[in-house]
Amino acid sequence: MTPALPLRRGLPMVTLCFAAMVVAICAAPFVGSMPISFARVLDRQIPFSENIDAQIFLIARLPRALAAALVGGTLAAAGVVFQGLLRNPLATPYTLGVSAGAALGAMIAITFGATLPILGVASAALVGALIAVAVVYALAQARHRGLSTTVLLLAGVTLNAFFSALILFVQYLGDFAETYRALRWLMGDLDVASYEPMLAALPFIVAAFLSFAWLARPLNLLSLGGDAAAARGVPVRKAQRIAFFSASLATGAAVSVGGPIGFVGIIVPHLVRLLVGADHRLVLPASAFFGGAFLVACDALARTVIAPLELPVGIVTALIGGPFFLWLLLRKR
Amino acid sequence: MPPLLAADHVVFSYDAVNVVDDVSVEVTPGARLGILGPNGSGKTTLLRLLSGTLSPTRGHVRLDGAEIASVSRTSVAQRLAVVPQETELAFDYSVLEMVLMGRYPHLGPFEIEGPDDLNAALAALDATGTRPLVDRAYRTLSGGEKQRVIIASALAQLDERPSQPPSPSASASAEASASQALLLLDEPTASLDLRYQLEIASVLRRLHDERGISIVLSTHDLHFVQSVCTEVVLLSRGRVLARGPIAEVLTPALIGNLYGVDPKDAAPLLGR
Repeated sequence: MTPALPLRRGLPMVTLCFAAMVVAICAAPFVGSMPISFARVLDRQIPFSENIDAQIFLIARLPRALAAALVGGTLAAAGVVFQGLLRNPLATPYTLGVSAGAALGAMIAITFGATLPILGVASAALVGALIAVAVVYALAQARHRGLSTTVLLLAGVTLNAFFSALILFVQYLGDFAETYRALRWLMGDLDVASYEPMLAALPFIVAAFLSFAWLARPLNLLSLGGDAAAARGVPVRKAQRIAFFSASLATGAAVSVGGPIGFVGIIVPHLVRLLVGADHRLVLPASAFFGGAFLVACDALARTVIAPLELPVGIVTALIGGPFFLWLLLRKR
Repeated sequence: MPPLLAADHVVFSYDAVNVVDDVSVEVTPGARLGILGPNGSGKTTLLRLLSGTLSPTRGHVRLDGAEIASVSRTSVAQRLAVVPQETELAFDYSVLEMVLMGRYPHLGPFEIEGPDDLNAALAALDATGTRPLVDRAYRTLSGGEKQRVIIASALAQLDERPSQPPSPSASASAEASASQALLLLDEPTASLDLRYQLEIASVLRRLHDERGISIVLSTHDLHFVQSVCTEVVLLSRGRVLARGPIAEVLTPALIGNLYGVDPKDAAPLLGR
């Protein structure tokens, strides 16, 4: 009996993840403290200016669901790429300091934005992320010809700690209101009221996903080790560089929209691997779709669980993610 | 016969120490060459130089007479496969997925494996006796099974079948291409017990006899090198101590010298 190609076996699951994301995006806007009716949203008889249901759907909730899908999908896919690059299943999109850089940028914009209104919070976060990426890359390149994943990890961890200190320092300088806003941003929140932050992040995310499409197969081989991948014809250094930059840019862009929402980038890839196996050509798209669906669902939960108050979605993902992570650690041999 | 692969006075230094020091090696078609030496003698580095994953500090490595660094990575990979000492995976791939990864140099950047690639993988599994493991997770295999699966992956990598255009001399060209393939193994039995050592040895002999694959392997195991190889290079502190047919080189005096032991103690290990 001839076995089927493993890639083919996983395709239905990827399709299912895609369907889950579409369903989540369509259903989430109907969930919330203010109930809206599907019929009224689509009712063309009522003018849009008087159709409150349609306004809530299109202006308040749909952008939010789309932002959740974009951020969740991006973080999950970036998590997969970082795990593949570092050959470490416990890596997250934030391991290499990108989110700390973004957070520092956002903290500076929040704290000094009134006196120095140069950049919005989202743009400042993006700039901070880019600076962190450049610093980590320069450190990892400094002593080796290729990218040393060990140095990458160490540089990332160190930079995370250093940026955290700077973040505390900036927060210390802020007043009560600024510190409150800063803290809320750090919790990770999708309280976007427009499409603008998404549109600003989109070019980076699209570019990153195009790179991910090329990276999927090299990442499979890189998990055998650099030498083994090179011996099979993989351009190892090029693949590592593309993986590092694309996943970092994607993470920076996602964080600029939603703040450093935790755990999506690690739970989703692991769940997806249980569903489709380890092939990155399946894990990457499935994680992007499932990550989107997951964050849309978490955000719907965040908006309703203590309604009319809204929880920052980062708290929900952390509350789900923490125990999941422990379970993952304990079930490992 | 011109060599398939040749190292020409290669030197590789690391922190000003010559790990490989002025070594020349030639691999002719159908060769079974053993690189024998104690731990730290530069065997692994020499193999990495021969496979082109490491560039020599001085000297040349040539594949079919062309500087290996100037040949594209995928062209090298279609001809020359490497089996490292141990392969541990970061993720849970199945045996079939592992073997299909060997098809990398035969596929375009966005191309996915087709029936030809699957057949190449299954043939490689058959050749190494690992077909029954096809659906197992690589991580759950024993050391000997893992090593045979990695050899299968290397065979799938060397399998040219999909790109062979049908031509009048199809069979002749297939034969020629088979004898062009090179398999480099770095201490393939280092972590295996006797039974698996014998299994790997018989797999390698069969690959040579049935497919004409040329084999270069490094080892410090006297029995293993005698059971697979016909020629041997003795490597000591990065330099060639002796080279030639097994019978001429594996003498108590040379082996005693190589490992720093009394020749009288080395003699029984050579079966004399």
